[in-house]
Amino acid sequence: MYVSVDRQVPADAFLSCWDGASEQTLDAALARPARRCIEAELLDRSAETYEGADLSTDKVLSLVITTRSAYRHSVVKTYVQALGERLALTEDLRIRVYSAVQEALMNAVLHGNLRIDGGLRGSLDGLIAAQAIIETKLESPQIGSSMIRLDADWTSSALAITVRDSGDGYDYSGVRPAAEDGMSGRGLEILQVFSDRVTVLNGGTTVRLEFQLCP
Amino acid sequence: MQIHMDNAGGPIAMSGEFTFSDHVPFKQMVTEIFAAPGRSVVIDLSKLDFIDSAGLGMLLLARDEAKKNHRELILRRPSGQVKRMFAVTKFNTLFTVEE
Repeated sequence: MYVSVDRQVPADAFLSCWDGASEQTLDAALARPARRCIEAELLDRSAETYEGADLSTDKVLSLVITTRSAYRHSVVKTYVQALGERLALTEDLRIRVYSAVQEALMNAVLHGNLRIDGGLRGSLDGLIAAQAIIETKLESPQIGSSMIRLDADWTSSALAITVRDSGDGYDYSGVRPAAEDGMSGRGLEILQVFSDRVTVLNGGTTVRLEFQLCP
Repeated sequence: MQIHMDNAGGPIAMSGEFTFSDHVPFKQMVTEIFAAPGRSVVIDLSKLDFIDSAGLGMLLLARDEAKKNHRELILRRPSGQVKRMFAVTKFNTLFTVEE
């Protein structure tokens, strides 16, 4: 891991690089003073990854990773730990943030970038069939290396985390709550219950989660 | 996610994080559980730190597999985030949950 100043972003924007190997190396890459972390494989696309980012504050933590790494590593757990080193998260808030961001991330990976049919989750055999499809797609350079981006920004009273995928979008208006014993459909409910506000943007490729911080 | 099983018919224990990417070992565990004779199956969740909606869905699939085999699936001692997810999704009404 190294921390450097990227020439394409302002001089005070601390950029770190993750090798994509493990949660331990991600933890190191997200350590202070990093504000933005990019997986090494995506470094040559750094200008694209920071398009529209607010680089003027230190109250941000951005992570840009491949779909492959988002699927294979406990990215959200490590990311929330890194947030906890920058702002005070109560245990209640840590659980809520971790639970909601995990749902948003897996939705971005499975439905946004990998386009896995949700129907495959209806049986254990279907899940095994899904695994073969997932592995094939993850090994595809175009799909496996497609971007997932997490951006957190906060003030003394609120935290917002945005999860973006590189897919074609998703019509959330058609999502129906799960039947009580249904196999799937709980993701959106969990986003709504654990965050204070959920906003779907950019045709469904972006989900913004907002949390009030305790005074 | 780690799964701890013994061959003496004792409780099965899950630990760590249980998310979508754990479906292969979970399917294997379910197959092994219901291949062996018995009545009820207890899964100890006391060391499971985290579960997401996909993990909840897989527990429901295991419950359905139990019903097909005329068995009962009992979830024991969920705690922390897992207990909270059970409450949010009313999972306590879908399973026998032992505290």
